[in-house]
Amino acid sequence: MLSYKLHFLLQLVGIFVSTVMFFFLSKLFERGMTDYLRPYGGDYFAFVIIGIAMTDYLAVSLNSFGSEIRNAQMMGTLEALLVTPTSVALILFSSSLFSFTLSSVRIIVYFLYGITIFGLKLHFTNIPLLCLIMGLTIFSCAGIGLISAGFVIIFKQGSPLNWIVSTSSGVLGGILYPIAVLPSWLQPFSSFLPITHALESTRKVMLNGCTFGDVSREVILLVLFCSILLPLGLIVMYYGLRKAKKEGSLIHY
Amino acid sequence: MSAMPYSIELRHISKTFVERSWRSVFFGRLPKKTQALKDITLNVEKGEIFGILGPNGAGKTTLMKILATLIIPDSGMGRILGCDLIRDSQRVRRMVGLVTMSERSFYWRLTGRQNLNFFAALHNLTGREKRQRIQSLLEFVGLEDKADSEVMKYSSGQKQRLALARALLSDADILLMDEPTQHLDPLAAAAFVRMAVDVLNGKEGKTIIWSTHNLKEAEETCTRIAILHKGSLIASGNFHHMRSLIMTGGAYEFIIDRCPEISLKSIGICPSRIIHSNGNLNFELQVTSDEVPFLVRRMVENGINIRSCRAKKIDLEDVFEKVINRVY
Repeated sequence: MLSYKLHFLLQLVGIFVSTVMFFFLSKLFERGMTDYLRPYGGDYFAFVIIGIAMTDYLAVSLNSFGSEIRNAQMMGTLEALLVTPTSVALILFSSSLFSFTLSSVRIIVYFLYGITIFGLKLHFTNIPLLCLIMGLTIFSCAGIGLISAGFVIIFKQGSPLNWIVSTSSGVLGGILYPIAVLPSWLQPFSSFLPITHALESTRKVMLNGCTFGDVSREVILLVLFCSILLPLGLIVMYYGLRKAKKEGSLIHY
Repeated sequence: MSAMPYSIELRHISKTFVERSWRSVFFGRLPKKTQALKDITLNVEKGEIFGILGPNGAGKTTLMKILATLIIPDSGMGRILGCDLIRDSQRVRRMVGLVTMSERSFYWRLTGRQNLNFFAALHNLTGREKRQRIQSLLEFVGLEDKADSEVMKYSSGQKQRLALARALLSDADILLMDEPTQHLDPLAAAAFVRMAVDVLNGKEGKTIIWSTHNLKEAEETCTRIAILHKGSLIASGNFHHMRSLIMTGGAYEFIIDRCPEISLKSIGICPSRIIHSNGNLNFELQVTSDEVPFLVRRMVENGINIRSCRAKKIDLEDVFEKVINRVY
């Protein structure tokens, strides 16, 4: 149990160190990026902290389902889970709840450090809207995570799709810099990533105090991502499960 | 006349495992195929203990996993209490409890009680009902003293009993026991067998499918058996039926003073099995009781000194050996 507490403590220290790092980095960009940052209130530190915090949700959504499957394969518990009447999707979502809770705690800690130590100014006037955006972000990325889980069930290895989505999100999603800094021919590609719209809407709400009407376009796009990716993820995951049951490879690892 | 209410019905179940490699996918090499089950048809009646016997690699575990919906057969049809194994797999999983030989199917850093708590939730048990069921199962399998220890500290026997407790969480009508005593010492194995026979089957009337390669255990436990060999079902039925498969009359065991085997053959006696031991010759003859006095007289008249002659009890080992050798 001590190892878990130590791990959690190290995570808190890690969040603090990266917050400090981005705070000083923001000093560097303070003047140079003013035009690009104007739509977000002009503060790079606030911009990047939201980006980093939301990336945590992206990473958990993409990786947690595949990791749960992989752990169950390695530990030998997968068959014991699958022989119960509870659906696999429910088992995966429930098993990932802890990861999402932990991710939420990390995000809150990012904001707490930013606000209390570095004077970060955020708007928390529309909490239900923020929760809606977070929820849609998680479910749309979870769809990709479920596709990865299906891949893990069949190939017993991490999915390349996760790598593609997380790498392209890092480059095109507007995590560390506004999308406007990208070449104009590259900018349209960022629209195909859920994180782009999640970050755009979250920043509008938290940095500019925007309301639902101001972010309705992003919210509708996130709903669209959810309605496509989540069913697709479930289909791929169940296909993987059926294939593994046909091949008798459920417990192979 | 209404049909017999079977717990389990399997019709022409076949399963071949295909091992694909990159070479087979990209370069057209033929993938390695292993036929695990060939055209298996059998029925299991309600409330019986049905043994699945066979040497290693016979297909026992594959058959158990098909019944537990963990493997989908290539062809054939299977039903458990009327529910199709593929179409109604979720309902099937409510009706079966699986006890595997795997020790790795628990969360080792959790206690036995926490493990049961987790799996009980997956069986939709909640609140007081869940707590009471877990406690009564821990007492039933004799793990109440170890319930709050981490599973990593359990012995193999304790893990096996915890696996039984887990299989009983949902109060399933059918228990699938895949070599349940494999990791147990003889005393623990005997206790486990008694628990299954006397309580689970005897008192609670559960149907049990008992897969094993321990023939003595099967003989003590099962009401009917099926023998699998290289994926084929080569015989099934009760012990009386199984004995009848290998002999028409009876078997008699003779012990005589050692003499050349040729001298037996010269007087028209052809033993089915001969063992030399301590200067004696033990041999078996498959004959009817009417023939025995005649044979004895013939041996005595030819100077053979008979030390003993007794009717041989045919056990499952004889049946197993002869059925497998006869088919292959």
